[in-house]
Amino acid sequence: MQHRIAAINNCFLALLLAFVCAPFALECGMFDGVEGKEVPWTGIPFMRNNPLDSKAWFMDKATIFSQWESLSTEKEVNLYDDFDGHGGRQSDGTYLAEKGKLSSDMWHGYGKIVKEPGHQNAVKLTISGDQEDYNELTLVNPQVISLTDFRTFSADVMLPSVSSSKGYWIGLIYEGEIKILGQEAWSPWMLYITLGSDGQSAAINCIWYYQQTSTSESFFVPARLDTWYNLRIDIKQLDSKYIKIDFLLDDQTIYSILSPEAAVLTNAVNLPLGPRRSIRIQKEKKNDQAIALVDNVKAVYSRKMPAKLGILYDNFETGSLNLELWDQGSLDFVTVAPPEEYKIESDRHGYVMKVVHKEGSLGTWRVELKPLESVPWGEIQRVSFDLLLSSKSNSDSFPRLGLDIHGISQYPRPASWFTGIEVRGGGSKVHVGGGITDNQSMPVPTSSKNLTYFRTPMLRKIDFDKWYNLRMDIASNGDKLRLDFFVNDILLFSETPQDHGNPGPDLAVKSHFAFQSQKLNRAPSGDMIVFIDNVHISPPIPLPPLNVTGQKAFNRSLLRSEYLNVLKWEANPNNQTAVEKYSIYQIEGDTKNLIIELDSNIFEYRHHNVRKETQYTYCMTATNRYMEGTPTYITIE
Amino acid sequence: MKKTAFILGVALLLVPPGNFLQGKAFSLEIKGAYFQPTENVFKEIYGNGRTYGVELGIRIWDGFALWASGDYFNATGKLTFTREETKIQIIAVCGGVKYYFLSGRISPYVGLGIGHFAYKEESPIGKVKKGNLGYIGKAGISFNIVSGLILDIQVDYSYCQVKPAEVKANLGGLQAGIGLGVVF
Repeated sequence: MQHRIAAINNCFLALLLAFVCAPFALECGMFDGVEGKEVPWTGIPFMRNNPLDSKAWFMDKATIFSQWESLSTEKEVNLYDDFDGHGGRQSDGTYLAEKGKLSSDMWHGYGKIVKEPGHQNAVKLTISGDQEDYNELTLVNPQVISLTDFRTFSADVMLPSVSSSKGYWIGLIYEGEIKILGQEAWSPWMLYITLGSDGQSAAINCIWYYQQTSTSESFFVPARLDTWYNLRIDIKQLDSKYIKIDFLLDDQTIYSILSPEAAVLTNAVNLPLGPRRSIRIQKEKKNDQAIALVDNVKAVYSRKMPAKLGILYDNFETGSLNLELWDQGSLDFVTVAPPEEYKIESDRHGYVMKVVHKEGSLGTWRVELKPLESVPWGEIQRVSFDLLLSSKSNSDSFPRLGLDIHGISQYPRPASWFTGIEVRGGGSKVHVGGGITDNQSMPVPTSSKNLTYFRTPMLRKIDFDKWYNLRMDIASNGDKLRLDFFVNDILLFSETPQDHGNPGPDLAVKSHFAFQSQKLNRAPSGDMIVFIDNVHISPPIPLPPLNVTGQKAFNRSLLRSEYLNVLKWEANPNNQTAVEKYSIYQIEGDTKNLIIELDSNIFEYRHHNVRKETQYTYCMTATNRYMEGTPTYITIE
Repeated sequence: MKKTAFILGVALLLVPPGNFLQGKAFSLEIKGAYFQPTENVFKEIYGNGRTYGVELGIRIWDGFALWASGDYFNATGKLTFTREETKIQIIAVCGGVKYYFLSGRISPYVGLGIGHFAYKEESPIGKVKKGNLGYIGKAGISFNIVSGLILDIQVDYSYCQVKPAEVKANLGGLQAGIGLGVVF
């Protein structure tokens, strides 16, 4: 963070210098701002009403993936907030955005809604005090996403002349830190477009900084105080090497960068925390106050993660529990007959599973997904489901209910453990949370890989009669494990339980998944009614090979000749599951034609008899025993 | 080398014709030679190599004789980029006229001719099998070892430009060899 702030400070000094060197102000296409309006929702905030029939569970994988491909790949998600109640609309017609508020479903951080002429509600960002400091608003952020999954980020901004600060700026920021395999240090990068002022005049500043290659670019355009500007950053991946970054002012490109960092920046593995998108106000002087206004924020990104997940998936659209998928035999009822506990009902989301935990029942109710065949702990990547707590529940005490992964560890001696995301509470207070724990009833091993108990407290209050997507993402790298818990794509918290509950990759683990409603202390005084939909367990998506290179070459015998494209690549060491094959496709227009499938120990392919003057684009994927992974592209001139 | 060959050629032309081939009408010899292709890409792919062949001579008038020969060349090489294996066979059937400058134990000669170069090449890029007309010039010295037996040292230069597919190539080159034959 210090590196970033230092870099920005340097850039700001350059900005002040620019004021001296540019005594005249250019007309920059002044923008008076517009009232907020509804922007069509082009994406899906979380998976619901997926038309995949649950019979698809045991369809062949190619069919499943082709359906998922058409359903979920590269969905562009359009986050929009004008702070007047428009934007962030969900596929079910509800909104994430709230009128006159900073919706906690869309924003984290600091900001205050104010009335502003011509803008109804806008966000006022203020920073004051005796320190150089900053405040910022951060958009909800999808994890495990690469820089180029982001398409555009824009907002209307204005610096009112009432600020007393002599050095401050408001800016749209993409930033992240890259962890390159084999290197200890994290390398920060940042993309800023800012509107800054020295108290007298203003300027737009575009900044691209990447520490790994000591890249630092900056560009200035004079501007004015008390004037609304639309600032925007567009990102486009041109090929496997280059990213094009456009900085726009009022829809006019004022500066572009061609960054040869695509291979690093587009690899989500290098960005385990995901790039952050935020709007920041920062002042460079002490003992003054800086004020900025923001409105009409738009952030478009490509939501890749749902694609190709769904080896285990059920949305109950057959109207019943698919017995090939669900195991009812492990129900453990104490006082309630199984048929009354759950059933598949139809509501406006289609068929969903309704769970009723009867008043007075005490014990554990559980319905399990049948275990994936021999899936070890480290190979489960995501657990996700949609959940609604009915306000018709009249229980004052909700037992724990969630989707858990259970496992049995055989080393150093038998123990069981589980992790999951769940709801708990009672009356009007229900929360979601998650964590990992061992089963305390089992003997606790004494090795360094103890499965010691811990549990993260419930962290987020949720409402009745509202659908939530609860999700747990699991990333493991050798002995290291990270669990990320999300609600509606918003990261609740992360756990890195290496020393607490990680069974470790060397342990024999059998995983299974279960909804269980467990009585903790006392029986509920009333019924608990919960609806569940879109249950989703995914094994890991194979990551594409690294350092894919291509060249066109001339090859001849004495009497025959040809041009050929030579593709070379390296195995991606971050794949948790062994890659079984590589697939190479040729992209021609909108079609993708499979050229060849190669064993995983082959790292070169020669595409023979290509045309000398033709540009060829290839797509490469890795396939593990579950599925084909995300592609990487390369173009050969 | 070229200068030496030129001087030798001029000297031989100045020598009056004699009773060549030991006064016999026919000669038949088998020969082996070292072949150095003219074209660099030929050398790069296949390198130099050996050829084998037979040659028939027929005395027609004074120092002149007709000749006909068949030569066989084959080689295995590597493609220029992928280094995959490629194979070539060339069979050159040529004929022409020779002139012997001397008779006796040592008979130097020069000759010219044309020929049909049949070639076949197989590689991962593709297969070619075709034939083209080429030209050949030769010079040599025939030694009478014993009665009816000759030893022939000869140098040939051939030229055969072909383009059966995408690229042009010259199948010819310089060939230096030795032959052992009979006259009758």
